[in-house]
Amino acid sequence: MRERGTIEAQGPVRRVAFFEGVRHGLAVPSIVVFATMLGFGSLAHANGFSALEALLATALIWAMPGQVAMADLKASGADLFVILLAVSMASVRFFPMATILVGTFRTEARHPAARLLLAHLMSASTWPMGMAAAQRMPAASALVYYWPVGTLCITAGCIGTVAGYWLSADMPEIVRLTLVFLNVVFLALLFALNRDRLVILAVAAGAVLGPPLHALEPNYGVVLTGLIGGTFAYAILGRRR
Amino acid sequence: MSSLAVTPLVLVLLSAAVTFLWRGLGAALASRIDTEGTLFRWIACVSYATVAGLISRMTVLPTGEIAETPLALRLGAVAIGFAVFFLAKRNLLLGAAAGAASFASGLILLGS
Repeated sequence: MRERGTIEAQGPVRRVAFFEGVRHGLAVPSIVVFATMLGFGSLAHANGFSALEALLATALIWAMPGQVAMADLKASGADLFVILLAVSMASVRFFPMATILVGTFRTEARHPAARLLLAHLMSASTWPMGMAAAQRMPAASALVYYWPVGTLCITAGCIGTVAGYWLSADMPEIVRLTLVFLNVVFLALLFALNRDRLVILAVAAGAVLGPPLHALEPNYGVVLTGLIGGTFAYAILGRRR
Repeated sequence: MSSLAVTPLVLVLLSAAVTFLWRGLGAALASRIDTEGTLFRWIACVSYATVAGLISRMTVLPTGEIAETPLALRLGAVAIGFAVFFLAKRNLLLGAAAGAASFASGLILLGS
């Protein structure tokens, strides 16, 4: 899919890195991503998207929280502006993540298109893998490792999305509901992976404020929750590091 | 802003655009910016709180079919997912599977 001459032109070190990337990309992250997107596929089905739209969402947005926000808020009847604001706020983390990742590979990935592709393939699973690779091998090899990891993960996500969509369409209600519920459990646990006190406080503040603010102001509730909860957490812990 | 009616496809494309904006901005400013700075820390807090608020609301006040299920079941299943997650040394797959399985079992027991 994406050798672009890197493999045959360079020595064995790169080939080793590439196949390690293939192995890692086929292993746990792809299984996790598949399971996650299985849930998103069923949520998209439940909320009136077509299979193609669900697939495009995973391929083009490639951010589970943003995708879930989009599908859920559409169903709750929020304004377009609010949905896009919430989706955007849910994905702000890609700004610092892309800055760090692309910065790590800035001498190896010179072409702007390659840099944008690096940033697009980033996700909660692939970013740490790419960063860890850059720690343990030369940047050039780490980049060769990252391409298959990113490509395989997003492919697994797309397959999972379509699988979840079809399962939802043909399965009994219990399966449908469980797959939709999987989104909630998965994202909640994704937060639990964090050990940073500031992040934990921001998550707690958001979780506490989310339902009451939504009840008060269904349209802007999610955006207000982020601004108030996030600012509160920052005010308490953000300045001390 | 009034509610502009857009097709789901346009909604997907616009959502992709606002997401890619951050990726592109990060790629463009790579290594010319301090990601440890105060602004970034605040942005991260707001982003995490937004998603946490959404998830919490999807559990407590969901939309669609799932709103028919009992609140106690949804909260209980999330709690079981967390318990298994921590017992299994922060295993995301096991935790999520346990949460989903508890939820499905609860639905079967309630005979819905």
